Amino acid sequence: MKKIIYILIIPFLLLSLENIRAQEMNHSPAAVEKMKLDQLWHKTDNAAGIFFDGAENYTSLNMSYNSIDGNFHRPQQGKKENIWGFDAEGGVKLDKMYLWGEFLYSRNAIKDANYNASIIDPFRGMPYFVADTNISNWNNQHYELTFKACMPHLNDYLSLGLAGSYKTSTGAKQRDPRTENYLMKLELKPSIVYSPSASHHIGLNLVYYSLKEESNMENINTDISQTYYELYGLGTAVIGLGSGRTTNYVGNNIGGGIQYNYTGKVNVLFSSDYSLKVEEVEISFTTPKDDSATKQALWKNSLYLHTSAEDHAHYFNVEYTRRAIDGIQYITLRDVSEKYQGWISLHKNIRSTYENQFLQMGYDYAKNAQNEYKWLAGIKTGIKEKKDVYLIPRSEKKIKNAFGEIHGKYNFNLSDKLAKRLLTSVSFLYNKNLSGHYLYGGSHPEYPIVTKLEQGDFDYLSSDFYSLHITATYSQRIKKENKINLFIQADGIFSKAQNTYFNDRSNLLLTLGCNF
Amino acid sequence: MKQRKYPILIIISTLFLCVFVNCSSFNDILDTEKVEPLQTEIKIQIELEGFDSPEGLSIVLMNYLENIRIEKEFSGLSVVLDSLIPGIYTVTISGKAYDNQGQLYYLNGGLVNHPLIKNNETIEIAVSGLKISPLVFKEIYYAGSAPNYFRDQFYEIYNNSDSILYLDGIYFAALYPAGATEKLPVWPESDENKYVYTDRLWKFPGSGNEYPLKPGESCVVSQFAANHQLDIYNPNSPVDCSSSEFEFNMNNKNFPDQPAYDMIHVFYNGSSAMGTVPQYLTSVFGGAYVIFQIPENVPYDPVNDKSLQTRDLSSSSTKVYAKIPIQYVLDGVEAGHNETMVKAKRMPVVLDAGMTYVGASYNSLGVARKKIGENEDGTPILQDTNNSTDDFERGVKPMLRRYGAKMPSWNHTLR
Repeated sequence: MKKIIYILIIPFLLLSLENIRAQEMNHSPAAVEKMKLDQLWHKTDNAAGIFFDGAENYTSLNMSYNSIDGNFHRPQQGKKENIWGFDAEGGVKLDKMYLWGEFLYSRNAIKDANYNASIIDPFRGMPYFVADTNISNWNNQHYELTFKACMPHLNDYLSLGLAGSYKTSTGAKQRDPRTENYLMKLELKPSIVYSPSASHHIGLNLVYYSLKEESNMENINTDISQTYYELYGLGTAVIGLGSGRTTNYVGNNIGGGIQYNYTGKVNVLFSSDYSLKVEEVEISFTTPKDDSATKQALWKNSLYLHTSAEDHAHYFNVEYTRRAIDGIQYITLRDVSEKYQGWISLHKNIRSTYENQFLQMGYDYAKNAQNEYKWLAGIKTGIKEKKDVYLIPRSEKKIKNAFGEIHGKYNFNLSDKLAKRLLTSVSFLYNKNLSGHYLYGGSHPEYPIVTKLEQGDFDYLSSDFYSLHITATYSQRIKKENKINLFIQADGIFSKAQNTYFNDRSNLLLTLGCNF
Repeated sequence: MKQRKYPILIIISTLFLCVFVNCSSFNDILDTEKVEPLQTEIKIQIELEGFDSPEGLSIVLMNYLENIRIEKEFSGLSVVLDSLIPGIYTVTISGKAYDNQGQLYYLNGGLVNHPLIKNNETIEIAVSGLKISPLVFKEIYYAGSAPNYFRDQFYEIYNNSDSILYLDGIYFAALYPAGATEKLPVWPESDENKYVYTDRLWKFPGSGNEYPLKPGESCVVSQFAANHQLDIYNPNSPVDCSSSEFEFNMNNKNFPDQPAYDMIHVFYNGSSAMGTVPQYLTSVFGGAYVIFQIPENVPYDPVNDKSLQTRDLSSSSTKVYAKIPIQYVLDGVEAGHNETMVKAKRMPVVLDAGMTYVGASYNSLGVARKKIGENEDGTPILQDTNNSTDDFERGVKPMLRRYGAKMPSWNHTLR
């Protein structure tokens, strides 16, 4: 694994060195942020369109430490979390190509997590895993390498691109019943852009990814059998006693997206993506048993409008996302005839559905100062809706929230000599629950999976809360003639629940990095 | 140069199409339909002579995985059940009935782990009967005590009738596999489901009338008939088994022979020898226990009669197991980890339609048959509907001779 990571990182670092030689512009944190705000195609899955963003050469490296604490969290999140991270990102023009890449590494030490004994990320849209009631720590590590390559234009009308990513994660629960998990995701996105004129661009991309997660549960203290619950959605669970199970998740996703971009006085980009994912859950490697599966349809639509003058810029965006997951359960029987065939899958049905909708619109106004912004102010508002249903016997978890955010940023110019900047930002978000209920109609309503996990999750997701987010970033060049821009950032989020179930959650992020 | 780039796009697109088209499981999942309730008709066939009508019989469908129980009385020879959720069900038809000669029978039949997945399906179930056994398991303590002490296991057998019974020659066994598991063994189809199977067989000593049990008396058979609460054993143990009538003595010097009578070892892996295992430990997660009595005129020698032995055909192991004829079983009780392990039943419905449990191992808890009345002398009348899910109190503190069951006069402590 480490060899693969090194092989993937080395070309990226070479590209970074290329950027050190090539850079002319000031890449302060505000400049890098503004550059990303201006890059509309980069927000899509279509790598062929990056050239139309006026892509720049840049590199950003940073290391971070994130400390999260407080009881306002979902039941399966840790009460505390400490995350060490490293992020390297950059783009470079090579002849007629543009390459962009990012490498992310994070090491998460999760303290006192509950109701999860078998999956690295219990919120990734997979309802079928094993939960227990032994509060435990988790040690997780994530590596992710992403690239986008915009090929030289085929002719005046056609551009080709390819994006991809490779992600691996490991996770280990630290208390019986414990688990050791390995996750891998490999994604490819070929793309094309057809430009009938200099102002009009039509894009098309495909998406394929393959995902695999393996979960191996065991007890270190084999003298004590542990109680665990195999989850089937919305509180439906099968109790087990022992050391758990081996679970193999295999998923395939296929989809595509279309984009339309008009560049003129206003830069408009509309993007619509649709994908279908199937993920199968198999228990045991020695005698595999089909347990369950999910079918996920994901539809994402985005509209970006951007106008830019010399001294100011407007940014407007609307996003709508709908994710619908069908939870499928198998009916299996073990063959006990002399022709022994292991587990036989007899039947399968959709037993539960999970739907999430998200609508958001935002507006930002930026006062420009060369390639940076001097200040930026914006608002954001949206609606989140969740509709989860277990079909028979019927259980429901439905939540509808609205939120609004106002934010402002000011980039203090402390000195032009070494491009010393203090970038400050403050944002205030308020989340209001509009409606919601959790009704459990299945068996064993007394299980903690119903009374603590699902009810607790509902209480969290339906909470009114406010969140205050403050950031301060100091940056400067090392030397006048050196283009490397060092920065140090302190970022704090404080969220306060407006109910009696929870108090608050704080998140302190410290980052040290450089842009060039 | 330009012409060379088009094939790249074509190759990548073709690759995507191939992945999509060839991935049959992908398409299979996409075609899955939403669950709909089913309707099923159950017909019964009474195979026992002397019974003309299904009067008194009821049907119970249990989907243990989803904890669904559906119960109906028979008014004719069939019953229609609707609003069933597709799943694996254990279907039990049972009831007490007198035949034309006035003999009381326990009629039952059923299907274990039967898939109900088709709408408007008709299922025929044969119902046969066993004479109601007067000898029953009264209390079983198998889980052991903390931290991991298992030598305090015991089994209490009770005379639930109004006449004297003799334990002499009655066999005792825990069925194979030892613990409830969905990975069940494969037994010969030629056996036609007439047997259950064990890896080890014991029987009570005596030549015919040496160990009588009067009505209201019980006998305790312990793994090791000692006072387990002594410091040298496990003070956490909930039981003192030193007054047990019998023990499974495996000649372990560390746990020496106690005053209780020794059960007679009959069979292990094709031999009458005990083997090298230092104790008779049944699963601390719960075993499937039977007592059975072979009529005097029926030969039964699983050591020397190879037709009464078999291998587990799903395994390459050469270990052999003894066959136990179902028709001679007096009582059977199946225990498992918890309620959902009924999906992994080892015992046929005709012997035990349910399963009892204590929810954990080494938790010092046992199961005890429910008391439904009292005899004139204050001894209990115990429930026996052939379904240990219903018949047993679960998670009780183990106790020898609960409800005032009496000790037989030949108990060693009374000598």
